[in-house]
Parts: sequence; C-alpha cells; structure tokens
Amino acid sequence: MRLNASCIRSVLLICFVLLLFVSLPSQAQTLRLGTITNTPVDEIRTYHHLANYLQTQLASQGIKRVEVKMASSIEQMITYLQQQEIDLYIDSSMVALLVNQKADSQFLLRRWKKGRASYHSVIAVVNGGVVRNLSDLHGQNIAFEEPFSTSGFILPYLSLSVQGIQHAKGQANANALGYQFAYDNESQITWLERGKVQAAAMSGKDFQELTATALKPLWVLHQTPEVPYHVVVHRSGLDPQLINTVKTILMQAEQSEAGRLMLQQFERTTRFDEIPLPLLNNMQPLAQHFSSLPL
Amino acid sequence: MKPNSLGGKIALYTSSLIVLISLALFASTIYQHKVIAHDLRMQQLMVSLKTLSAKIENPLYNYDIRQLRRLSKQLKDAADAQFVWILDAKGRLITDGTLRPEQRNQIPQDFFVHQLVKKKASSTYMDGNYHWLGNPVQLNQNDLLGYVVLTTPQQLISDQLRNTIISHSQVLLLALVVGIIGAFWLGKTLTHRLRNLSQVAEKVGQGEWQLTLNTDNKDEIGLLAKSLNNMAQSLSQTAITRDQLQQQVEAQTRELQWHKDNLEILVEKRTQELLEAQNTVESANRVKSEFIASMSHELRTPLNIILGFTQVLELDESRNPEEAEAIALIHKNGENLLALVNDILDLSPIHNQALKLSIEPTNISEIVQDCYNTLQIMADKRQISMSITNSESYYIWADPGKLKQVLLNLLSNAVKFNHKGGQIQLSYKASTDGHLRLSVSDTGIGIPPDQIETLFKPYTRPDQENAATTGTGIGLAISLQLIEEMNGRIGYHPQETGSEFWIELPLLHNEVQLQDTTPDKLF
Repeated sequence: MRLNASCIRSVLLICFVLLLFVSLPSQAQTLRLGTITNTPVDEIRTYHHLANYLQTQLASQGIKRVEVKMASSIEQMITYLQQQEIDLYIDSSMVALLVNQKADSQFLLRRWKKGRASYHSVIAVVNGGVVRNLSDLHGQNIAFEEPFSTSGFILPYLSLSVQGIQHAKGQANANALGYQFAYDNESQITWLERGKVQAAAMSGKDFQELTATALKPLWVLHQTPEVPYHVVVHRSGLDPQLINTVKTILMQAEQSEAGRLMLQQFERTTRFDEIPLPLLNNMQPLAQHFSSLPL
Repeated sequence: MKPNSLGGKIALYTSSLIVLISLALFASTIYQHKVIAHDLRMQQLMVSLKTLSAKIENPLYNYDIRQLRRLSKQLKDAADAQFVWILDAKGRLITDGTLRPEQRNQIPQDFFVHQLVKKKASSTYMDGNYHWLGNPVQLNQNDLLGYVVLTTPQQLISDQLRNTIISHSQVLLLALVVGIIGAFWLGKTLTHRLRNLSQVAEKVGQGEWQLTLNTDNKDEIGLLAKSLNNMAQSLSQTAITRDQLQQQVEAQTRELQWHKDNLEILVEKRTQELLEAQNTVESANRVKSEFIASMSHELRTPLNIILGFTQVLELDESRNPEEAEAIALIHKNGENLLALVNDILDLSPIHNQALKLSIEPTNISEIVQDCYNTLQIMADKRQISMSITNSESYYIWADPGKLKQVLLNLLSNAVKFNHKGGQIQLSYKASTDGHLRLSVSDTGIGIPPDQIETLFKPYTRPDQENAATTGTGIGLAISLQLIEEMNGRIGYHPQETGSEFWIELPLLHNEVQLQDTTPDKLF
C-alpha cells in the first residue's frame, strides 16, 4: 500500500498535536528553584517558604507545583540549567555571573539577602608587614575563605587577577600569590595576625568587625569593586511570560503580608529589585577573568 | 478503723516506719548529694576539660578557629558552663565558642587565668560566684600550645541541690502518701478480714456450723479461714454424731431403766424362788438325813443282833463245816453291812452336826503302831508286806480315835487295792511349817490321773476294775472331813508304782505345851 503525501502530513500533524498536548502541561505545571550548596537539607528548608509562596502566586498561571532542587557544584548547576532541570537559580552575584556565562542563563533580580543589597571584598595585610602594595603579594600567601564564597574568594580572586596578580594554590612562589582556604573569617584573620599568611581576603563588613579585636594593626591593601550581594537567575528558554510573572511576584512580595512573611523566612530577605546598572558594569571586568578561577 | 484495733496498729506502725525510712533516706541522699555533688562536678568538669585539651591540640596548632569554636561551644553546652575559653600560650583568648568575641586576642583579666598562665598546670579555683578550672594544652614538655579554661557558676550546684531537694521532696511526699494510704489500706483489709473471721468464729461458737469463709487467699489469714472452715465442719459433724449418740444413750438409758425396773422385780422373784428352793432343799435334806439316820439306827440294831447271834453260833463247835462256813459268811457280810451303815451315818449331816471331836496331844507312834497291828493280819492274808519306817515319838493335835479311823481307812485301801506280794510303807516326819506329815504309800494299782480330782468326793471309787472290792466309796470323803475338823490337811501324791496318801496335822512344839495340855497321857 502506498501512502500519499496528504496522508503522511495528516499523520505527522496528529503526532505533533499529541506531542504538544503531552509536553506542554508538564513544563507549565512545575517550576523548579535551585542553588549550590553542600548542605542541601538546610537549603531546601530555607527555600521551602519561597517555593510555597510562588506556588500559591503562580497557580493562576498554570503552575501547579514549585519544587526545590539543589546542586552540589557550579558545574552541576550549569548542567541543571542547561538541561532545564532548574528554572530559577539564586546565588551570590559573582557565582551567578560565572554560571550565566556557561549555562546561558540570565540575571532576573537582585535579592537583598539579610538586608544587604551589595558588597565588596578587601585584601587585608598587617600594618607594617612585608606587604605594602599589591606587587608585594607575589611570593606571599593569602587566606581565602572557601571556594564558593563570592566575598571570600571569587570576588577578591578575580579582582586581584584584574590587578595582574597571579595565583598559586597552596604554597606561593616568586611569581604568584599562594592561597589556601581557611573556611572561617576568624581563622583567616588569626592566620594573618599570627603570620601564617601575609594577606587575607574577606568582605569589607567582616573585616571591619574583626579588625576591632585584631592582635596586630591591620590595613586594607586592596578593595574590590562593589557588586550585588545576591541575585536571581532564570534559565535560558524559560517562558518569558512566566519570567515576567515571577519577576513581578517577587518584586511585589514586600507589599503584601504573605510576601513579607515569606521574605523574612527566606533568610531575612528585605526585597527583590532590579539589579542596578553600575553594579552590573562593575562585574563585567571581573567576568573576563573567570577562566582563571580554579573551579 | 479504730486506733486500738489491729488494723489501726498495723497502719500506724507501718506508716511510722515508712516515714522514718523515707526521712532517713531523704536526709542521707541530700547529704550525699551536697557533699559529693561538688567534688563530683569538679571531677567531671576536669575530665571534660582534659578531653577538650586533647581534642583541640591540632586545631589550636593550625589556628582552626572554626573547629576550636565548635569544640568550645560543644563543651560549654555539654557541661552547662558559663565560659569555655581557649587561650593561646600567652593566655590570649582565641575563642570562647562565640563568633568574633569581643575579648578576642586579649588576656582575660581574671586572677585564675593569670595563675594558670603562671603555673602552667591544671588547677581549680573557686571565687565568690564561680568555679574555675584550667588545663594547659601541651605541644611537648617545654612548649605550650595554649590553655583551656572553664568556669561554672556555684549557683548551678546550689540550684542542682535545690532542684534535687525539690524533686526528692516530691518523690518523698508521693511515697509517703502512697505508703501511708497503702498502710491504712493494708490495716483496713487485715481488720476487715479478721473481723469476718471473728464474726464467723462467733457464729460458729453459737452453733451456726454451716458457715463457710472465703479461702481464696493463700496467706496466713486464708489458712486461718480454711482452718476455721474445717473446724466448723468438724464441729458440725461432731454435733451430728453427738446428737445421734445422745439419742442412742437416751434410748439405751430408757431400755436400761426398763430392764432395771424389771430386774429388781425379777431378782425379787428369783430370790423368792431360790429361797423357796433352798427351803425345799433344806427340808428335803433334813428329811433325807433324818431318814438316813433313822434307817441307819434301825438297821444297826437288828444287824448288831444278827452279829451277836452269829458270834454265838460260831462258838458252837458242833456245826458241820458247811454250816460253820455259812455262819462265818453271814457274820462277815453282816459286819460289812454294819460298816457300810456306819459310814453312811458318819457322812450324814445330822451325824456330822452331832460329831464332837476331842482334839488333844496325841502320840503319833502309838497310833501308827496300833493301826499297823490292826491291818497286819489283813495284809498278811494278801501276802502284802507292811512296814513302819519311823520310831520317833511326835505329839500332834488330833482326835486319836478319828485319826486312827482315817489311818485305818488309808491302810485298808492300800491293802485292798494292792497286788499280791505288794508293799505298804508307813512313815511320818516333822515338816518345817509346824506340822507332822504322815504318809501311806503302796505299790498297788494307783489312781488314774483323770480321777484324782474327784478322789475325795463321796461315792466315787477310782478303780472300776476292782469293782468287786468291798467299800462304799465314801471313805476318803469321811477322811477329808475328819482331818479338816482336826485342822489338818489330807492329800494324794501319785507314784510311779502305786499311790501315796499323806496327812498333815499340827505338831506340839515343846514339852511345856504338852504339860499344859495333856499331862496325864505323857506321864
């Protein structure tokens, strides 16, 4: 039996309609939130309030369910976004910028986490020590906080790179600044105070608090550009209407009682707003050195 | 429940005991807690402090503040301490378990910390408010990594003691309440059970023996109840038996009373009959005796005449032998008949009543010799040898005539019931009991053993084989009567061959007695 062209077109059309009928509802019904963490249970509990709020608000938009999915690394998050397993990703701005570059995701909003809208990092050294300018860092050691910390590692690392400082994990050499992770601000500053390292990188706010009890006088050798504290990112290919709806919901959350309760429960977030352009511009030079990050 | 009741006493004593024991335990516990709690607390804290010192060696060496902070906070929470400080080798604060402590890198201005850094050894201290404990963290014998200092408020131990007192007091109060309630419950239960027992026992005592007590409990009261039930049951059965016995006794008493009443009548009747019979018998016996006496008297007169005439006829020598023999035969049979009549007369009661013995000192040898002489001819005729073995003179109390009569009777029996060529021996001797024993023994036919008992009864002849032998069979009976009248004894002693008859009569013991009694016959 020979099938004519009209018959084949009819079959294909039916299959397409069926496929569309099957696939559309599943994508429209579930929205997945995500972040990078080594403590997924704690984070899931933290994000649970936001997920419930969005599920309620998006019910009229065909979203029947909002889920929380955690990635254990930047690479995994990039993969999840690329494979559309996560629709909205929330993280510090520099990590999010790195992920955006690799997963083709986009900034959506700024999150005022714990009331902070933006921050910068500092490179602290002992006053009167061996390091007096950035060039003195070569051959010395610096204590970063932890690998996924924007203020404690990524931001100062990239900023130093922008300044032409080469990094070497572990022990320093004559042409590079050796670095190690202290995993704690107090450890960083203690190491600096007691000569275990010659520099320490942390957020400006943390430095101000710790320098008050310093064993030795410390001073800021270098200050990084100001960048947004936390941001919301959406994956590539997400329904623009849904993106706008989510953006509107989040930005208006502080205006309702339920929204304010959600913000408070979501790590004392003050609000969501548009990312200021100057801050975005501050981030662009740093982004050019992402390739040097040992992630 | 009354205080004087058993249950009240049990409740009172038990409650008092519970209170005393509880208070003693309470006081002891509180005292021990107070004394020991402090030392124990300090020891525990020092152990914890040293454990922490060991744990923080590497983090302190690496200045791993996050780890130090975690361990410090961990101990602070676990030990309920006020502070847990980790100091560097110069006593400067590394961490107190909190984030970014205000005193970071400062030496705490406390006396204890200065002393600790100065002594570089484990130490404890107590000021007005806190207990202080410190321990150095050694790198090696010469170098220190730092110190660990722990402070805990004294109030904590006081609070613990107070809490202990409160909690123990609550437990004590609860125990006392429960114990006292239990004691009263126990007393009430025991009283109730004992009262039940008492009531039942009282009812049982009143005769209600069908009551039963619950014996489900296996304790002593249960056993007592069981015993009471058994007792009631036994009493019930005993009462039934008693009633039955009483009825039987009453019936038998009535029957006995009836028999008693009839018996008296019957006894009177029988007594009357016996009296009548006795009178009849006595009358008949008297008639018989009178008849025998009369008959004997009437017989002896013609017999004496016959014998007299036969003696006269025998004197006539002109008679032919046949006539002489016939006359001799008449004379002999007449004498036998006269002897028989005399014997019968002797045995008769009337004659006996008339018998008057003359008991006097008697020379036995004369009697024996006289009798011997009398029977010598008769023995010789039968070719029987007769001998006297004694010649001593003994004086005895006896009627010489009657004694001779008895002795002749025994000797004649010995001759009559002897064999041809047999022997007869007469003997006498004094016995130790003041009697003279006179015996007549022969070698005759003897007495069959089954006839010995009736030997001295009238009209019995022991030897039926010699029925032809003359005699009435009353000789021994007369002898018995005569000897007993003379206060003596007569008897028979069987021999291997023949017989032995003996007589025992009272002896005279001395001449004075003899002189006082029969002087004429002795001299």
